[in-house]
Amino acid sequence: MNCNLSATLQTLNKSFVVVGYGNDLRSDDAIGPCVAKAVEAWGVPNVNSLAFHQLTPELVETIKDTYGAIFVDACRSPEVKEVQVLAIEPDELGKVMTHHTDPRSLLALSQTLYGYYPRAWLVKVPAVNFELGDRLSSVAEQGISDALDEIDYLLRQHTHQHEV
Amino acid sequence: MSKTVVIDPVTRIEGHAKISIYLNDAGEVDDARFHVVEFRGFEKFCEGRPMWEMAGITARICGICPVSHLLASAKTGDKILAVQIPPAAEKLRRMMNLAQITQSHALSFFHLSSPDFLLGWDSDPATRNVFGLIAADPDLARSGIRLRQFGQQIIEWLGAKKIHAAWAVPGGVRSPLSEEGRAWIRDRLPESRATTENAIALFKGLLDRLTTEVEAFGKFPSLFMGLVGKDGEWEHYGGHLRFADSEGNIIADNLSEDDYKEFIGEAVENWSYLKFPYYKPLGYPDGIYRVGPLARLNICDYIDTPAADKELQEFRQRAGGIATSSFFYHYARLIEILAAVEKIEQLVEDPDVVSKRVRAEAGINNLEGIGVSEAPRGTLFHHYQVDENGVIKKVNLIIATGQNNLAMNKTVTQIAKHYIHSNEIPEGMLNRVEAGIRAFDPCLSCSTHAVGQMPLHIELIAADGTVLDEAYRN
Repeated sequence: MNCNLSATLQTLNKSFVVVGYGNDLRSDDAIGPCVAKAVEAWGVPNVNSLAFHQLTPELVETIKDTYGAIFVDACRSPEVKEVQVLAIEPDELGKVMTHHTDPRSLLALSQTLYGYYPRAWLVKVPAVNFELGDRLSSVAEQGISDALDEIDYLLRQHTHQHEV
Repeated sequence: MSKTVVIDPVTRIEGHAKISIYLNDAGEVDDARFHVVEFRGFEKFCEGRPMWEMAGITARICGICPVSHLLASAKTGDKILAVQIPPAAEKLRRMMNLAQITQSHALSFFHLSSPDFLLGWDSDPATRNVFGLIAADPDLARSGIRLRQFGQQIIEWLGAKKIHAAWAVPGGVRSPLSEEGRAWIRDRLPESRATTENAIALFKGLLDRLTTEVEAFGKFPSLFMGLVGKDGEWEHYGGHLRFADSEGNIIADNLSEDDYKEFIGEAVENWSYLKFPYYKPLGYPDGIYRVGPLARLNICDYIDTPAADKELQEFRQRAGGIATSSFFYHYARLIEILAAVEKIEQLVEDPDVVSKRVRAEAGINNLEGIGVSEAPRGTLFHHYQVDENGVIKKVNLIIATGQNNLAMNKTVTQIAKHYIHSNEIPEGMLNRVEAGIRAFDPCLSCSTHAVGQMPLHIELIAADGTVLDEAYRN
């Protein structure tokens, strides 16, 4: 990640939020927070990166002010064999809002409350171990690396599209 | 032929639960049970861990009320170190607990329970949730989300994370509030107070048409337990324990958490992983007691903040004295949010909250410690035994929701008896049974200390044990 992306994002007045979520005491479930912390370390000013244990309804206050929201979560392999980046839309029939929610419901909440929702993607990273523990599997480590490449590409793609 | 109606899963609560309602041959409700169907084992797998890790580990019992465990664990560690924490540390811990109470109660009211009051128990289940609430009253929904955000953000300002902040430690806390955080809190206080006052006014307006629910949703005599301050004022962090009865008589007072085994027993039933705490002098199950917002308002003499105290006086007038209806938990939660906001208004102006003197250092000076704190849902005990090196040998946790177990069962039975009189059970009736549980705002993830998804399963069981009907949610 270099300065050009940062400068471009600022010029275009586009802000992104990267939300990585999962339990960091459940082995590979820490993938989401790990990715978020790595993106935070890039230090790109218009990219806000947040690590959470779980998604909660008040996150709508953060995403409503962004151009794009990228959600990152660990997904059980072998259903997910490699990193997947899915464009997602609001869905208010998703999780009923309790103390935790899901990306599509958050988008629906944003749309309903504020008449707007950001462009959004869900980055699904393959994971093999969800037992109690604080170590990542080799599958998860590779997935994190791939996810970071995908997020970098996603951010650049959106600035490039605007330029075109 | 007798039947059993089973509600499985219970919706809009945290954790996994099942309700079984047993009908007799005449089709009338005989009994009902609230089963918690998951087990976790925190008390066991913490053995062998260093005491210093317990705050971080027990905070992960739950993603909903981690602060409660953090504080109770830290207080237990204080006892093991035999330290008195700096005044600044106590004020900061109090601020975090008040923020926790605010965010938890806000979510309970606005997201979990108000869809029932505002949209109706018989409304379409597909929209009887926060989206239905938004459609009916977007300003209310928006303000409720922002109120919860207020509480969560204070937790993050203090602990650097909203959930599982590793900030409260034995001896104090890791860091004070920053000036930036202080400014943010000051800025958001007026809105938070207004939202709370509006919600209280709204709820009071609804109470007049919810008289059936007030009478049928778990209205029965019981003891109430919680912390009170040295002058009997409402407490959430320190003070001493008090038991009072439904007539307002103080049954036991000035109790220390160190002696909890003398007055709290824990029974077990083979149909639930949730234990059944009871007041020992009265035995099981006569020693039924309730904890949490309803109990805290019932046992205290007053609230030492003016607006909340005024609301408390009206609360008692409307209840006719001690509030014995579990439906009044919703009302009590809102008053507690107001008390929390008023206290945060005071604390944020105290110079100690930005002081750097926030931790006392010591080694292992006691081999046993018991800490107590008021979680949003009620009184929480952590009890550790350690070796000379501070390694955990034994843990016992008494969780708020568990202490309401007997009362939740009684509530479910009462509601079922009031609303179910035939073999045809409309959805709205089942929701009322669930709503009875929801009044307690249980955290089943903590109380079993259980993990997993949260369904509610309802079974209809005949007198001969045949399952005649079943209903599932989620």
